[in-house]
Amino acid sequence: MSKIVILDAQLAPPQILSDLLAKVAAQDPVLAEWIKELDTVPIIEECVQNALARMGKIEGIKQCQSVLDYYGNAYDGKLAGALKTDALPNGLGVKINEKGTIEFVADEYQSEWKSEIKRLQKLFTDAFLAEITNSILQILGYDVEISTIAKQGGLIYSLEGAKQ
Amino acid sequence: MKRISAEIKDGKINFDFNGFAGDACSAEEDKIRILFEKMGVKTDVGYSDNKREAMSNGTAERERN
Repeated sequence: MSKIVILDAQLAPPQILSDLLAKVAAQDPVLAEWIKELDTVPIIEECVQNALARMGKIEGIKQCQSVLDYYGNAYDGKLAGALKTDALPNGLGVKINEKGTIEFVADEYQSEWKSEIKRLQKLFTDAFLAEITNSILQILGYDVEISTIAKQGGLIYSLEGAKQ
Repeated sequence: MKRISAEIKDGKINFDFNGFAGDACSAEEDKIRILFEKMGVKTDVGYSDNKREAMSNGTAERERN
């Protein structure tokens, strides 16, 4: 049996949808309760670090720890990490708030910085989605292989999960 | 053997489920989606193929919705 599903994904505050939880509970009440109680913030933090490390391997992108504003002042909040490029020398910071929501920090004063921030946010979101998908499939008992394919000027993350 | 392939680009996750009996496919999709939400990823189903097969225990012909 096979099925294809395309999900449109956006970063958002971690939450649990009661209708989905009810559907899972009907099939597997133990798993539903476990998911309900699961503290996902450490998993989100690990996935953010892995996504930043993946981004740091892309040509032209450097992984760093701080971001600056237009005047050269460093952001003084806590960051999970940051990314810099020639087009965005002051960097794009990634932070995780206390609820586990991912937030971006950058000075978008110049228009070329703004467009680079959007490009990096999109690249980071895809890398993070790949890491989260990897974690979810592993939680559900799959052995997972993850690879990156460069195609049409962009990156595609490919994951293959298998279980008996 | 159950297999799930996923391709990710531009905020879209393209899942391909294989080797699931009947509605086990949809049940696995529900588990994945609830874990996404719990990990700060809001998901909406943009496209789904072969739902009838999943809902009819695999007896229906494969067809697009």
